[in-house]
Amino acid sequence: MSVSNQLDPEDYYVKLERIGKGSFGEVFKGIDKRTKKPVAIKIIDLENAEDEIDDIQQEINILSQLDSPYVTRYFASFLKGANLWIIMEYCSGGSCSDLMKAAVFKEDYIAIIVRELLKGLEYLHGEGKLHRAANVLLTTEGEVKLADFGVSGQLTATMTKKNTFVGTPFWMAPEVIKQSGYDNKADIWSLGITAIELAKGEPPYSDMHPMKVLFLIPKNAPPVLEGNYSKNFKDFIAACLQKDPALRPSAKELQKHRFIRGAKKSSYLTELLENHERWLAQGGARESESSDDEAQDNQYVDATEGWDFGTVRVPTMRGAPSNETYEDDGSGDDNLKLSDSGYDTVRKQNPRSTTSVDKLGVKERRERPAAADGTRDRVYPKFVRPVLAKLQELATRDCERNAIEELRLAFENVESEIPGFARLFVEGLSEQINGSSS
Amino acid sequence: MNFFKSKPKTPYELTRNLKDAIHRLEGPDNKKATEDISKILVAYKTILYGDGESDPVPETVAQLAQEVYSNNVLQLLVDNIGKFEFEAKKDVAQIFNNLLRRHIGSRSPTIEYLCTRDQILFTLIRGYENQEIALNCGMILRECLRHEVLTKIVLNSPQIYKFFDYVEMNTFDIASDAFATFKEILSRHKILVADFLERNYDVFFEKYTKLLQSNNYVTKRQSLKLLGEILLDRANFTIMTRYIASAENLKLMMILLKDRSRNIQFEAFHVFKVFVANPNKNRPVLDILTKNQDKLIMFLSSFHNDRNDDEQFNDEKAFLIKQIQDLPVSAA
Repeated sequence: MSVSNQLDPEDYYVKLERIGKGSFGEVFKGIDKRTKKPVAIKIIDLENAEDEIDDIQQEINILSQLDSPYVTRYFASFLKGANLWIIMEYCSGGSCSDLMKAAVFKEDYIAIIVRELLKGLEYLHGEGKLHRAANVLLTTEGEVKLADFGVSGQLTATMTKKNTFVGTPFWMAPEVIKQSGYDNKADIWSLGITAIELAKGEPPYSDMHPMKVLFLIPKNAPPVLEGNYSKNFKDFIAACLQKDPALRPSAKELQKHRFIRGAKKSSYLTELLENHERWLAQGGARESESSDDEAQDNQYVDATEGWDFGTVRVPTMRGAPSNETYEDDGSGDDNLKLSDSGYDTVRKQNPRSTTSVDKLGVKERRERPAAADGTRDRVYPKFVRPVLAKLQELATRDCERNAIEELRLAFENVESEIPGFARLFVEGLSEQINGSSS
Repeated sequence: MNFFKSKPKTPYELTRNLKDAIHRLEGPDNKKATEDISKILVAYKTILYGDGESDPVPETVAQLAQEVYSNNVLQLLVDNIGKFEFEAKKDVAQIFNNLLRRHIGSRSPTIEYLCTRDQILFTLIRGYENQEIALNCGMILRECLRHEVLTKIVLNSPQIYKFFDYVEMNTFDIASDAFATFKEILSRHKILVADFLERNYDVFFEKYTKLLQSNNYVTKRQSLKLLGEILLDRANFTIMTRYIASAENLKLMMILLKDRSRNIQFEAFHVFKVFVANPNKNRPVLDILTKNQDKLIMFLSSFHNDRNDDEQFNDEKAFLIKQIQDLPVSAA
């Protein structure tokens, strides 16, 4: 076996125009020279990727084991220098978020899309996988495919290493935010949010600061679909958006819901494509392009635009631990729950993995709402600072004191960035503690 | 309640049918045979994992395991997996891995069974040569390698050296899966691996050096990283001592320090540092370091200076510079 026999992807594929860009790299349309069929080519620069190569490899391994008409298909991957080419199925219809620019979808279409998404989720859940990313693509025939779980999702999760991104938790289930352990049912919640988004053009809370939303989702009653929609649709949303994951029906059960049973054939979705084309022809895209630079790029939107559950947790099958679980990254409940030796826990924690917010790893979606509204919140100076000072006094070693000092600075930093953060933090914490003790 | 649902087949019947279907794979109606196999494997899986509504029944699981052992089913499955349907291939891995984890008290019957059938392990390793089944075999193999006795069998056989070819395969998916398995072999059971490396030092590192010089970016970077991990593992102290006594190895690391890829430079740093930190440097190593004293100091002073948030790295770098400055003056 010689070292020079590496296959060159350009012998097999012609790379055409760029169709997307994300944290992971770029996506191009391509043509398979052998079949003359279009493909999507994701190119990741491994040298500059934030992720460990092992993690990317593991994601590809998972992708390659999926085979469903409801999930964008993985074909192959190649290495060209330090660039990894991942060849995926090309969905010529574009993404839902793209098509929605023309107009929000009518209920009839939503029912079809949601039915197809449920089939995709049923498949993924049967395989012990979670979806995590909310990118939905359409083919020209109107087929609906889940996309962007896997590689880009993984890369997204690492964006947090840089701490430069705060997030879009809009699609996240309450239990995902609380990091109290979650399973397939988290995808069902996210699906409910996606359905609202398809109807309204925006997920709930989209006008708020993402950080605030992190606290609101677990705290508030679930969002409800309001407006001129059928009872079935509203009822469907309510079934998905139940705070207790156990009460949410599975993807399989939801396909029997009246809202879904009444849905038409997928081929009706081609009307959406036509609408979008007409809108484009009338110059519709220009407007949004000027307001959003990336608009022309988002057939394959970065999964950070969607939801992101941080780490892949592969639910174990009955009777035995799964063999392909990812290492738990320690973001489990331990980080939030207080044990009786609370002080000890604080000391042992790795400073890089202390905040749960840090793990949520999502990208700034829109311009932030104006930060300071003039009123300074008193929770930080009144409660948090004295507690930190007291703990610091208790510390015996310099490194402990320094660590607490860092925490104090971090608190002040976030408080100045997001006034009122300490209040949200403390409220969230007390809710968490009350919740776990009851 | 479905009264018309046929009674599920017993492990005995299923296994008999499976063997029969596998025989028929070579026959004229092999399409039917593959379909039958897929169905039987689903039934196996249901017995082992439950059907989502009810949990597995321990007695049935025990019966199935017994049928599997006494009919050599695991060998049959891995021998023929290439002819199975896509989902059936995945089911083989799930069934295999479930049985591997099975234990009765402190005994692990499947592990004991595999110890007497090392051919199964070797068949799995050879799976990397067939693109259609490489990842399925890799998954099973890694599950096997969690068990020390099975890793020992692999390490004691010349088959282990096949991985040096597999990790350089031209299909990225397979090469990287093979690397993951290779890494598992070399990292999990520390004492076992240390013993293996000591006994086979020359052969092993001659081949390993080729990986470090590979044209393949991923091979080079990943093997360099693994080398660092191996050498810095306490269990491998003797191996590290031997590795850092070689001037050739030092030269290679100094070349890699200047690799085009910053990631490779960084991984090389973590091996290079061990040479410098070694309090008992031999003459050839010392010669290279003293000959390059000024260059090294200059090089390191500007090496990855943007990593200011990596405290450990900066401490180590400062330490290395100090060590090199303090070297006895070059004789040359």
